[in-house]
Amino acid sequence: MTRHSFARASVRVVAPLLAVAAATLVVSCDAFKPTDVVNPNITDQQFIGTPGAGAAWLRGTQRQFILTYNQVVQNAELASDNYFNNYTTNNQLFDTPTIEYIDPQVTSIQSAIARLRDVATFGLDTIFPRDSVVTAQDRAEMLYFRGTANLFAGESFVALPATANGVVVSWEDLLGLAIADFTEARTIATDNTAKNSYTLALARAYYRLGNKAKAVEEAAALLAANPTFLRNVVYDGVNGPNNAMQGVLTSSVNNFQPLPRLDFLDPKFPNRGANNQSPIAFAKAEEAHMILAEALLSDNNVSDAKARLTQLLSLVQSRPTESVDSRIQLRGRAGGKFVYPNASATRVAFAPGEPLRDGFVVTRSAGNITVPIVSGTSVTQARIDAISTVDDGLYVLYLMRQEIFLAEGRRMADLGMRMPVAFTEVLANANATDGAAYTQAQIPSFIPLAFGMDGFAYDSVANTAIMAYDMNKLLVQNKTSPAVLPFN
Amino acid sequence: MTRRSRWAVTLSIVPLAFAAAAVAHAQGTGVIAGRVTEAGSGKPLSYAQVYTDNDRNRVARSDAEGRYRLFNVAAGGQTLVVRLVGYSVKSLPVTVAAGDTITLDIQLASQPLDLDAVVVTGQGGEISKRRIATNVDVVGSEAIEASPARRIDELLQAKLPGAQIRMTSGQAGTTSIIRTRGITSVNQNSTPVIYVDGVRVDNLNTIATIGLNVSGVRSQGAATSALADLPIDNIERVEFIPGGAATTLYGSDAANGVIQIFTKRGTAGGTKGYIESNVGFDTPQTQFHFFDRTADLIYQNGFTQGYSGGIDGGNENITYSVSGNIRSAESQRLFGDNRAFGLRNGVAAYLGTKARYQGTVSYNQSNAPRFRNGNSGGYNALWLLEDGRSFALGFDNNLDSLSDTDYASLKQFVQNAEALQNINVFTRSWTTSHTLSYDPVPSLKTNVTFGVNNRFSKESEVVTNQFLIATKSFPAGTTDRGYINNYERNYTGFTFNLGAQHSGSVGNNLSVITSVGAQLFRNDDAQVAYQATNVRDGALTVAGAGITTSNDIAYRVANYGVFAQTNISYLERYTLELGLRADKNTAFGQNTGAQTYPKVGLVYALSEEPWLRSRISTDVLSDLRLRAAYGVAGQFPTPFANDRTIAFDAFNGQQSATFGQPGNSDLKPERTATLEYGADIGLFNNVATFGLGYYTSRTTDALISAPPAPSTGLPSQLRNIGEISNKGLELRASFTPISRPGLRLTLNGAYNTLTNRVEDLQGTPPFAISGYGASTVQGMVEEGFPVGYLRGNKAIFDANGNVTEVLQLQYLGKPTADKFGSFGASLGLGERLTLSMGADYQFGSQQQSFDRAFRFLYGVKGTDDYVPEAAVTQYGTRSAIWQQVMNLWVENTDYVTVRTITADYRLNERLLPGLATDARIAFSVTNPFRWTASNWDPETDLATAGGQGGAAVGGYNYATDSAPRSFILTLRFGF
Repeated sequence: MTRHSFARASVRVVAPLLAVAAATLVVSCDAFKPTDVVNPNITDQQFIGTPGAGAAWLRGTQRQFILTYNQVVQNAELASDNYFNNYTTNNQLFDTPTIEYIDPQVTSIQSAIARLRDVATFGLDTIFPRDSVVTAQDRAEMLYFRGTANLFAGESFVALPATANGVVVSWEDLLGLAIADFTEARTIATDNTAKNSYTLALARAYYRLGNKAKAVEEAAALLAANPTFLRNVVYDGVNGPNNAMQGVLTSSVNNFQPLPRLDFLDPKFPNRGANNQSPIAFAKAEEAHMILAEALLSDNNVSDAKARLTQLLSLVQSRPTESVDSRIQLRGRAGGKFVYPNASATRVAFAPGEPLRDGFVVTRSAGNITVPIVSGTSVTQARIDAISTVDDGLYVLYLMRQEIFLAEGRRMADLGMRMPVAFTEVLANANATDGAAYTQAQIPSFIPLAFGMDGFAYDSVANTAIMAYDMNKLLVQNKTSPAVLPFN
Repeated sequence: MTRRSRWAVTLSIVPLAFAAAAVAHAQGTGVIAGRVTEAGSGKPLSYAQVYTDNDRNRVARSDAEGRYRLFNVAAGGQTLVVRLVGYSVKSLPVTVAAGDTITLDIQLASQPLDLDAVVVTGQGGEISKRRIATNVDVVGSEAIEASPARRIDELLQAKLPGAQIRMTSGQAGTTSIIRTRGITSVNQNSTPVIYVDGVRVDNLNTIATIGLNVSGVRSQGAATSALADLPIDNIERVEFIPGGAATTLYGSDAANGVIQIFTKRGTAGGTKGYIESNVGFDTPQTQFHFFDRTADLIYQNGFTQGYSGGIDGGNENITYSVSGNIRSAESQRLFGDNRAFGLRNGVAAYLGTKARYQGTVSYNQSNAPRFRNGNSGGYNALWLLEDGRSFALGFDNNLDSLSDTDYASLKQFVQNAEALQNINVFTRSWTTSHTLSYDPVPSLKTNVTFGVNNRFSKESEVVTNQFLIATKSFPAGTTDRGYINNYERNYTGFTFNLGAQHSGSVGNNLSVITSVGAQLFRNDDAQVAYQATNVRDGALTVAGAGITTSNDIAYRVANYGVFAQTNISYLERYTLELGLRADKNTAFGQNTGAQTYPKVGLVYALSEEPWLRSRISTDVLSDLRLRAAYGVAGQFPTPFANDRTIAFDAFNGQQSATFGQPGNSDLKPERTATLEYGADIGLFNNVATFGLGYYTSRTTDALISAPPAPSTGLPSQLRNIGEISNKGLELRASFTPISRPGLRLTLNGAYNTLTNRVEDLQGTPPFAISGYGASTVQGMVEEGFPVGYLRGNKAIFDANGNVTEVLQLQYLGKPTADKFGSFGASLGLGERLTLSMGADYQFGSQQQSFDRAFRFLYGVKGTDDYVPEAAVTQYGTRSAIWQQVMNLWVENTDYVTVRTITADYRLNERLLPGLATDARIAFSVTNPFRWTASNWDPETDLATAGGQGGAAVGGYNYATDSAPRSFILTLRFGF
């Protein structure tokens, strides 16, 4: 083929092909839109007002409550004497306790609380009004979740903005906002079980505010309505969120170690298989008993307080336990910073000079152990019977509070510690001021620093573990501090 | 018809018009043939372009022996032009009679400044480097073929004088960090955009959004790079332009520069072919190991073999090139076997005298294992062994002092775990490019290019109960903890380019080259995950597992725009460049209109001035060129980051809704404006050459995904609120002290400086883009500091070694080097033997080493001097102090690395077997010599991109494999 004819042939072949291709493209210009790009995600305008939007948003708020609660619980447990972060992930400073406003966890807890509040507010103000099938009970639950956001804020922080980029308000005012939501929730609620949650939440908020009369009123109301009340946080073992505390209590590494005198209560949230997460008791009748007992002790009514503690003990003893394969919990022997006692032969002293006692440490390597999964305590009826003074009553009460609420994120507040407003907030929110008092954490002066709360001397030969401090004793000694024991 | 669809019409009509106009018309023609060799040494030069000035579309290329054959040369007098990367252009008059074949042997003189190179990338058409005011680097086929590199970024590592390229891990196919002219974004990766034959290809050099994570919190370590599977065989040349004025014509897409790969399409004049084998082995760089026994436990001398071959040829109307390669490597890491193969073909056809079609297709696939590294937790061999973590699993962590029995027990444990670790990455990509060129008159060249790139990757992690039990994560008897994670990413990119270039003159002295064009690309990136937990051991599918879950995400973006550029030169002495690009992008917010990017450049060829020439001869001052340019280039935001969305999560079997992305209607591209000055100097007939450059760039509207006030409870949202500056010197020099037949020595070097700074964040609080918790170390973005500087606790010691103070949130160092560059030498002995070496270096950067910190924390013997003894006593325990002294874990990561040493010998043709026409034997060593200031390998850098396409600045040494030292023997036969 000559060059000439080849070229002609090429044109004869190529040109018609290109012509057909081009014609196809011209004709089908609507089918060929290279610049047409569709976002596969749903925008807010596509969502608001659609069927089922209210129910989906309520579930989203429940899910956000879990995410927020996970943040609050883990960090509050570390900052207290309950748990020590024996590995290098998670926060490394809260154990000291060092709580700085630059700490990313301070920021993330605060953000998680604000998100729960704003998700609930958006649901109440924007989603629900456009969904005709939303019920009063749905609205009550949404108010309850918003109330818990302010409850967490009021219990855990010195102060926080109550709205996005808003003015920083005191913890007392935050609890006031929580009380307003819980009250409205109870007013409009149609579900009696849910109403009990709101009642107990009110008791809890009033307790932290030191409003003894209202706290007692709500606590008594709860016990009258349901003396064994329990509301769990239920996780989603398949898609998450998982129980964050369960993860750090039960994995072979990265786990939190309880103070040896609390060892027998751990793990409160056992592994139950790959797709199953243990729930956390978020609200339980035990709290009402403890509020009532503390009120009685603050009134110097030791005998009624003992009777109340007896009822409490009875309730605790009625709560379920679970047989758990805990062999994987090596108590720091899988690369932890410290090795913890792991044999029941270990005798524990609550502080130097205190007697050595049995029964606090469990042998995990020899088959299953039994742990309480709602509430547990080392306090016995005999110990309650032996209470003769207000302070001893308070000591036993706070020991029970610690043991019953273990791994539920309550101890930091009981120790009077509060987190500061985050540095990021100060920088990004014109209403927050750097250097203000709320940029400093509240850590009562009686709290031992340098890991004192988590400290203990372990002698693996003599099988003894002596705690450095008995924080419940310190709490009672400092009961007049405004940071702790709200009724004193 | 919608406005957008007019694009389609325009783009489809043009090739039709071209084809219709491509009518052949015959004249009397002849043939020019001959041989191209290097002046001085006489070495044959392959792939030199040979054409006549009145038919620039018809280009012959010399073969391995330097032979060329140019067909269809119009009868009559004209100028023959011969060009090759790295050599001066040669133009000589020639008169061809119809039907005649004339022979012309041509010698080309080396020209290290490469000013005669004709480049296209970023220019809108072909243009000589002499007329360009910005830097363009060209790497020719000879340098590519001589390199033992296995991937494009490794190939370019010591060949782009102004770029810093680091392989961050020794695992095959993993990501690199590529930086040119600093860091222009804290949101987007600094990897340049990559084009292959005019088609934009996947350049993902980070983890995918839904992708395998074997590195823990910072998932970037050992993520898979799309650059690793770009085939590098059969490449004619690679052009690179840095971001700024050079990339203005790429608009919103190229603030980090453009790499363009041009593949071969064959040469006319009979069928030629080659076969090549590469065999050798990879060995670990044991000098960085803390324990001697680490090498024995997880490393080996891994055999590597690669074979490639190809044929090309054609006649006066059609040329073609077909090649293939296959590679298999055991790797230096035990159980690290990886393999790849690829095919590529290119074809060029003349459609008459005015039109030409060029098309290429390539296919490539690879398979490589991954090993858990960095912060993965759990079983991670390097963390276990080198960082002392093995004590947590019941071993004495002082490996070198273990008894034989204990060592045997550890070895069995580690090698069992390594064997049971089943993580693999498979990639498959193909690219096709089609260009139709039509020159209606010699002064007007037009072309249209269409192409597609598709890359599919599958990452899969099979974790068995047996592995979990063996690594002591779960007790013996566990049967329900096995899991499988599969991640698939399917990327498809379409590119359309339309261009026209007119070359004209006004009078005799003023030459004007004007280009106009339009460009559109669209990327579709779809990712899915399908995962299973509670998987029975042995199962490799998710079907039938206790539970299966899935997830997906898609990114789609289209960018489309037009450009115009004119290059006006008076006597090729004074040149003015003006250019403008305007484009739109679907990732912009709805309030953001078309973006325009201007550029202006000036070139003053001082050495062409008669007054200078009358005083200084070309023998002394061969070239002196001054240039200055200003230009703006952009970088478009993450697709869909502009939309406000609602997020949905499955929750206890039902939908749950919450706030998604806050959205930003004003989202627009980051804009990097660069002002650069330079001088190119050639002395003594280019015996010594210098390139002097200085640039200063400022990125405005930088995309910041900074956290809002926590009281908003909202996630971060991209906003155009940042400002980042980069400036630096770019110096390069070459020196050829000896150049005579039989002996030629060339030395070259490059020296660059960089000052990078975040100028403005509009009050956004400092935020981390890399690293871990604030209690350890984080790579920060903060006004007044370099991007990604290392921040953490800084302990102050007194003379006795006691800690007097611990300052929080302190500057500890920065991962970007102040000074970096490369140098090399090439020695030609005789016509056949060439010895060469290439090296690169950096100074003034720092890294933090978790390897050292953990080794100390875990009480490995020999780490007592890591922290002053008094300070440890003061704090009581190592665990109490290690995070207080983060400054002790940061070291300077200055290094000088000899990247390759190669001996290349061209066998005497008389000794070759019958069919062979030429043969080469080469031996090369990669990473033979390393000098480092740090106690670890500064190139093993957990690259730290926070997510897909995120900025990767590095700065962390953490349980990561070093690149191997490789010894490769290459045999190449041409026939």
